[in-house]
This record gives sequence, structure tokens and C-alpha cells, in this order.
Amino acid sequence: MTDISTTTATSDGPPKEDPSIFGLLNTSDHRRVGRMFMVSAVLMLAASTVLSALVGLDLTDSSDFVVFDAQSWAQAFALTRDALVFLVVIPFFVGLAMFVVPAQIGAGRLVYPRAALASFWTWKISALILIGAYLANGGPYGGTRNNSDGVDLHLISLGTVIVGLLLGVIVVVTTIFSMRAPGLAIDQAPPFTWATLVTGVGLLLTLPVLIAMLTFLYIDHRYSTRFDVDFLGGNVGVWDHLEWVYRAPTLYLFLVPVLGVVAEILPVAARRRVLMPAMSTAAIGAVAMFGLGAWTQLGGVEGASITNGWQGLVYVAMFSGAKLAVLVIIGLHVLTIAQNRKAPPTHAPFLGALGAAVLIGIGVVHGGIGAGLDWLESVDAFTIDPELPLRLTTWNEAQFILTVGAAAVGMAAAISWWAPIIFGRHTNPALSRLSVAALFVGAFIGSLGPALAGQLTGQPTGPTTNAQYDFLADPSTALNTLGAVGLIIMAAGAALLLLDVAVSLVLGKGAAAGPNPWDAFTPEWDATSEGIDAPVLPALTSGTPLLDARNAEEVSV
Amino acid sequence: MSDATIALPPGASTAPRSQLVATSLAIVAGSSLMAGLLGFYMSRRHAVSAPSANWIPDGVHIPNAPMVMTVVTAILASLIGHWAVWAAKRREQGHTFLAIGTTLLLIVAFLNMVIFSMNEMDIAIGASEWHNLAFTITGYIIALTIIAIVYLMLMALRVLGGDLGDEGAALVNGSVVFWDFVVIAWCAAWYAVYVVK
Repeated sequence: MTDISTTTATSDGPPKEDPSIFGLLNTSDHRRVGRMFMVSAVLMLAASTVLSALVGLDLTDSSDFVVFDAQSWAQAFALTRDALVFLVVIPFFVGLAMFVVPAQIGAGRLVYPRAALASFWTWKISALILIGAYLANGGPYGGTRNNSDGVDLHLISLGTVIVGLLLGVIVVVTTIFSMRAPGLAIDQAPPFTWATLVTGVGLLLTLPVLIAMLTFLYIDHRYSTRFDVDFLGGNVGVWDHLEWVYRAPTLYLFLVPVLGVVAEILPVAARRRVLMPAMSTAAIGAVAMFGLGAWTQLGGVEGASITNGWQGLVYVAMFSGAKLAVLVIIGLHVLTIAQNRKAPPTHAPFLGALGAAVLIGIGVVHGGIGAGLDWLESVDAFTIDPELPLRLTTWNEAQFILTVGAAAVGMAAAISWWAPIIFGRHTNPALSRLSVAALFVGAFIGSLGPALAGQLTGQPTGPTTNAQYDFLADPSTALNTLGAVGLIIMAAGAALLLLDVAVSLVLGKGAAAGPNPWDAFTPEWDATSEGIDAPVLPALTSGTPLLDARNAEEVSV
Repeated sequence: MSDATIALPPGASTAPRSQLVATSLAIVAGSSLMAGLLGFYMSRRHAVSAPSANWIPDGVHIPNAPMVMTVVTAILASLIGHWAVWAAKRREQGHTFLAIGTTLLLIVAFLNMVIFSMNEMDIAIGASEWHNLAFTITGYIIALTIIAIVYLMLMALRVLGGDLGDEGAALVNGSVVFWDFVVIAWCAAWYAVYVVK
């Protein structure tokens, strides 16, 4: 083990944890808050994917719904979107960042740990209220003429969910800006820290626009007198104003932390620094920049006109830029692995990172084809038959499943990778490989059905304005069944991940982890070797001090 | 084992800089929110109003003089807030208290004028789309103003406890910069909603 000299920490180390249940309510230990976020998000992943599978199953019969009725199906569809993004993907990576980022930048703790705790409980309580609002018939398309208070509750709770997450983002980003170890430049920070930073800034620029929209919708819905002809569309108009968050290019913003995980794990598997690290760093930043898609909410409301005129050009440019940057990142890492003449490892973190990269790659190619065809149609280059633009068909749903699938596989990889420092134990090797495989296969098959259904039959995505599903225009039950099977496999993968986390990590049945079991490069692994509670932290001049030290040692030998 | 050593000095306390960074990030989020509000307001105005039609419903009278005074008062509060920062940096406790007190007084006066103007306009929520949108945007400004008052009062207590010099100035600066943001947000909202209409 290379000796790296140390310097006094700029702050005190994290406090000892209160092991009692009250510790969950008043802890100021950022590591515990991070774990609370991550475990809650994995639990929500399992629940959300089961709901997704039920929503998919409902489209396998051409004559009627199988599980829900029309109104419930529309709400269940909306809840899967809300949950997978705001109760799973964003909170998981916020929690992971709360734990990992301070260790990666040489800070002893988060800058405002109490604010981090407030962020968690604001998010958690709001998430439970959000689910309660859906159960009270309050989701988009929900409510009745005499009672639609549930819709108001849904709008408020979704807003406070976002406020809670943004508070956590501010805490993490402030820590990165103001508490880095002396000598560590931002562009030299480890990839996950860099990805967290650019995602955080992107979320701070994007999600407040959604809060603004939710506020308008609440005021309009709560205080206007008409049930379904309010100025912004009433209950049935809610979804039209929110769904832009679940579409590209905004969707790509949620993928950036996954790219950070990929950029952490794959070079270690290749035992070398990534090719052209500056370009990789710039490309991660570019994906976040092109993911700033708040402006598309207007286009989303206006429907087909989004690909016309100057707006269409911007739209295509945002799409192309994000996709190009993603392909650059994946290409550089695949080439880095190819440079290594030894066979790559087969542990779950590597397989997960590779699987996430492949799903992201498929997703960007898929999205590129859809956007390109829609734009070519808008300039009358040719006509798509059937007439519905691809982005308004289940082609778009496939894009969402690929993105969320990549995020879920990335979550599984991140848990296995960082479990030794987060929980002091390894995940179960067989179980974690199985969950990665199921999530990957499920996401791929789950996206294949809706993609083909959208392309071949023009099957519309999601509920239409009257909350019904147009079965007459939907003869593609075989493809819908294929999609449902994929979503069931994905739900099984999420359940296995939850089981692994619960048994191996939370209950402590996993194998005890030694220091730096992956031979990783980044500073948090050196902190582990010193003991994570140690108040003495490594001095940093790069984001890969362990690799630098190893290379220096090899040169000296 | 490598003999190379890296000797870096212990870092200075980072709390004041952290506060300014956190405030700046909150301002980024707040700016994005205001941009979303105003962008949606303008898009609806563009979509709904015909050249011959009134976007603002008949019967709504916008009190221009008090509205202009809100802008003047807000800017004045901002200037005096920066005086507080200047005085705190020079450890002039008397000037710091006077400046913070005056700033708070002007912000409360601003709040009073905004609420007075809304009462004058008799904005009834739900009466029309314009009423809903204008109420939401102005309501956000009022909420931000209350946050700014609480923030400045908390920082004033820190200064009262003896935090003067560079560290005290940084604390006050965070709250004053937040008020600067509220002033800019109000100027944008006032122009878009009550001047251009």
C-alpha cells in the first residue's frame, strides 16, 4: 500500500451516530442521511417497477383493462413517472453524493448536515403524502366534479418533494464548491463528484420551472370554479403541463450521475486512467448542459409544433448535442477497457457499469432516430405512417424505460461498488449479479415492445386527454405483452436488489470488506484505509491520488 | 512505499464562504423559478389575447404610483444593505446596526406597498386567468420578501453577537445578496405583469 501523507482536516470529522430510532430524526451525520436516502430509494424502486409492470400488463388485452379501470390506469401511469424520477433516481444519487462526495474531495463532512437531514425528511414525508394523494384519486385525470381535493394535494406534495430534493442538491453542491481539499481543482475532482456538480446545477436550473408550473396549476385548480374547463385544463390538463420532465432532453439530465458511476468503475476495471480524461469530463458537463430542457414544456403543451421552425432546430440541436456527448463518454471508456489486454473482471459493479453504459447507448441511438424522423417529417422530407409523430407514441415510452433502466442498473452497480465504505460490507456476489442482469434484460425487453408498437402501429403514449386508452387504434397487444414481460423482469431485478441491500448490507450478512477491495483510484478509498472516522484526511492534488501514487511507485521501481 | 510527502497547510474556516455559495445556489434556483413563472405568464398572454381584446380583465385598476414606489424602495433597501456590509467589514458596529435596521424597515415598507397595491387592484383569485397568474407571481415575490426579512434578521443577530470584520461582513453579505435577487425579481415581475400588462 502506497503511503500518502496527510494534512489536518479543514473541519471536524462526522459525529458518532446515535444508534436508536431517534437518531434517524436528529442525526447530523451526513453518512447516515445518505444511507437513509439510498435505502428509501431502493425500496421505492422495487415498488415503482411493480406498479410499472401492472401498468404494462393492462395493455395486453385489446378489449379492456386487465388490472385498473380507465381513470385508475391513467393515474397509475402518471405515478410510475413521478415515482421513478422523484422518489427513486434523483433521491438515490443525492443520497449517494451526500455520502461519497465529501470523502472524494477531502472534506470531513457535508457543509450543512442538518439541512441534509431536513432535505431527507421533507422529501420523505412529501413522498408519502404524494402517494396518499394518488390513493385518494388525486393524480392527473383524478378527482370528481364534487371532490377533487386530492388533485390539489398531489400538486402541493409533488412541489414539496422537489423542494426537499433541491435542498439536498444545494447542500452537496455547496460542499463541492467550498470544502474541497486545498489543491484539488474542480476539473480534477473524481468523475462522480464532477457529475454530481453538473447535475446539481442542472437540477437547480430545471426543477424550479416545474415548481412554478405546479404553483400555477394549484392556484388555477384550487380557486377556479370549473372542474374540467379551468384555464389550464383542470384535472385532465395537469399531465400536459408536467410530462416534459419525463421526456428528452430533460430525461438526459437524470442520467448524468449514472455516467459518473460508469466513469468511476470502468477505468478501475481496465486498471488505467480513462483515455483523454479532459474530454470525458467535458462530455459529462455537456450532457448536463443539453439536458436543460425546461423550455420544452411549452412545446410539450403545443404538441406537434415542437419540431417546427426555430424551436425545432433548437430541439434537434439539444437532442444531438446530448447524444453526441453521451456517445463520446461511452466510447472513451470502452476504448479504455479495450486497451487492457487482460480479461475484464466479472464482479457486479463492473457488469452493472457496463450494462448501464450499453443501455444509455441504446437509449441515445433510439432517441436520435425518433427525433430525426420527427424533424424530417416536420420539414416535409417524408411522411411517417401512421401519422402520429413518434415522440407522441410509445416510442417515447421506450426512451423513458431505457433511461430509467440505465439508472436502475447504475444504482445496482453503485451500491455494489461503494458498499464497502458505505456499509463496511460487500453485497452478495451472486445476488447482485443476478439483479444487475435482470434489470438490464428487463429494461431492454421492456423498451423493445413499446418502441416497436410506436413505430409499427403508432400506438399513443400514456393516457389521452379524456383519460381513456384508445384501444381501437391499438392492435399491438403482442408487442404490449412483450413490453409487459420486460417490465416484470425489471421488477424482479429491483426486488432482488432490495433483498440484497436488506440482507447483505442493512442486516449485515454480507462479507466484511477490507480496505480498497477494488484497487480503486479515488480518494474515498484511501480514507477507508485510514478509517473513515479519522479526523486526519489525505492532502489532494488530483482526483485519482491512489493511481498517481501507484504509477509513481512503478516508475521509481 | 513512496517517500514523497505532500505538505499542505490546514485550511481556513469555510463557513462564511459556504454561506455565500449556498445563497448563490438558492438564488440560481429562485431565478429559474421566476423565469418559469414569467415565461409561462407571457406565453399565456401571447396565446390568449387577441389584438382587440384586453388581456387584463375590465375593472382592474393598476395603481401605478405605489407600484413605482415599490421599485424605488426596494432599490433603496438594497443600497443601504450594502452599506451594512461595508460597515461590518470595517467593524463599525453602530453603522452596521443602523444600516441593517434601516434596510429591514425599508423592506417592510416595500412589503406593505405591494400588499396595498394588490388590495387596490382587488385581485380575486379564480376570477380570470390573469388574476390567477398575477396573484401567483406577486405571491412568490411576497414569499421571497418574507424569507429575505428572516434571513437578514438572523444575520443581524449574528452581528449583534460580535461577528464583525471579514467574517461578519460575509454573513451580512449573504442576506443582502439575497435581497438584491428579490429586487431584480420584483423589477422583472413588475415590468412584465403590471407595465407591459
